[in-house]
Amino acid sequence: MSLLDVRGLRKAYGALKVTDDLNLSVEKGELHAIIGPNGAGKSTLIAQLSGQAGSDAGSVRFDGAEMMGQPMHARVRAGMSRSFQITSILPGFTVLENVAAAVQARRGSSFRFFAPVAGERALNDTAMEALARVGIAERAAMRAAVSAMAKSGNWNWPSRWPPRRNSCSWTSPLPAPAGRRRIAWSRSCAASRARSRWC
Amino acid sequence: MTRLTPTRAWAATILFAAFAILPMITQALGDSYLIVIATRILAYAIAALALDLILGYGGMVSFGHAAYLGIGAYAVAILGRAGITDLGAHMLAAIAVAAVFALITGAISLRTRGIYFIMITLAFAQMGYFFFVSLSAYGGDDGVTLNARSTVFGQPLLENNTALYYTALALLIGLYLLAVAITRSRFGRVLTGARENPLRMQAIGFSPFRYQLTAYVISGCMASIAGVMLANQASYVSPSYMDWHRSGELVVMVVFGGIGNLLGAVAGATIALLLEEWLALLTRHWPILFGLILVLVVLYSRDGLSGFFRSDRS
Repeated sequence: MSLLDVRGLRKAYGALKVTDDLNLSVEKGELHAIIGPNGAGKSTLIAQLSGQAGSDAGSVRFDGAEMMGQPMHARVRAGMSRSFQITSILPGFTVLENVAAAVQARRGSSFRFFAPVAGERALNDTAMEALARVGIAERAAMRAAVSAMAKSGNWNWPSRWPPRRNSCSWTSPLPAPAGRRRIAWSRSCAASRARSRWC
Repeated sequence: MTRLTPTRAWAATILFAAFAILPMITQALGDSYLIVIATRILAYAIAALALDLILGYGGMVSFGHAAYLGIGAYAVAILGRAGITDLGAHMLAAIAVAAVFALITGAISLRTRGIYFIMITLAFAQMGYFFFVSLSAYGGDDGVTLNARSTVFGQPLLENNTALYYTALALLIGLYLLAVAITRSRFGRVLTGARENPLRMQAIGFSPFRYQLTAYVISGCMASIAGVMLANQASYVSPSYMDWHRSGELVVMVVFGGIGNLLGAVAGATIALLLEEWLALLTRHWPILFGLILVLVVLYSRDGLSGFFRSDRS
């Protein structure tokens, strides 16, 4: 069974059919690029797959589970993640907090009201490890908005998920509790990253 | 995210210590009116603190927080008439009703953003206002005078203005520490993150709605405690507590003190009410002067008054 299985996906804005009966299946370990001219509907497709945008019809199965109708955050927790074309960060947070927030999403409940989160070693250590891996550990305490790298698209990737085994840009290599793989899509993927086992 | 810097801890200590010794000063001066104003200030400081939690940290501009003042105040009036006079019972009832009201109205309001959120919270508060206006058993528009203040352990301790003042101060300090803890917790991080960039938070696996709604409920409950204190201070309850002017005043206090600065909210409430008292002595048209000062503060410091005491802005 494919890791990602898309059947009959549709979306129209009025009379304009942006996604017209799209079928797609992706096996584990595969890396794909979706290309097309401006307005072809690449971003819309990514938005539909990630749950950011609704779909008119079709099914999106990820790792055997139906994702259609699930909100974005639920799909993320199931293991589907996306990156953004335009850098998307939490500008008021420090670089470390940006990554630690992502670690926090995976570890334990966030309905904890009393213990200071800044003192959670487990979150910070994993986040620091991720920052060190991408070579920006020295910026950990800097506010993300002022970090010069915030201007570059590259900044995005450590904050997406703390990569553990490699630094593939578009997927999260962090093994999910259920042992699932994350897969994400992008308009492009650099050839240098194609070697990754986890993409 | 909030960092409890040594400076901020000191500022909090100094501010609360000043509140703590105030009754001794007023006693020395023989001015009994000042303690009444100060109690009102403390009650509004609680409400401003509650509002700042969602406005400053959650990015939710509620223009209907006076509703919770009204809920707290009417809890005292209604239970008091029913013969239940205990302060604890009044606060529990206020918190319970406020929680339900916040849960329902918040769940609806949070489906909107920006100006629509402001308008819908205002609309819900006005519904509460008109509900109590039409509640003729409790005086309708005119409100109702309390027979007595809340009791503690069956004793009418709060009839003493100083005792009421210290009760309000203890509640304010407790709620301030609670609010600080919340903003620094895991929950606070998600709440602040959802203000910074809700899409990003979803992309890393959080549903902002749940956290925002929880914060909204916590804030409503805190504000209802302020209502309990206000009713006791004035020994009088009327729908005017829920008036939209009042909601606006709370927003002004938060802006005054610096949005997203919990201690600033306390200071903002203090300064706004003191200014009101003082300017009213100068002229009948004091709101003009008050407005002018507010404009100047907002123009020259985006962080409100607390911004003037800060040099480390990046």
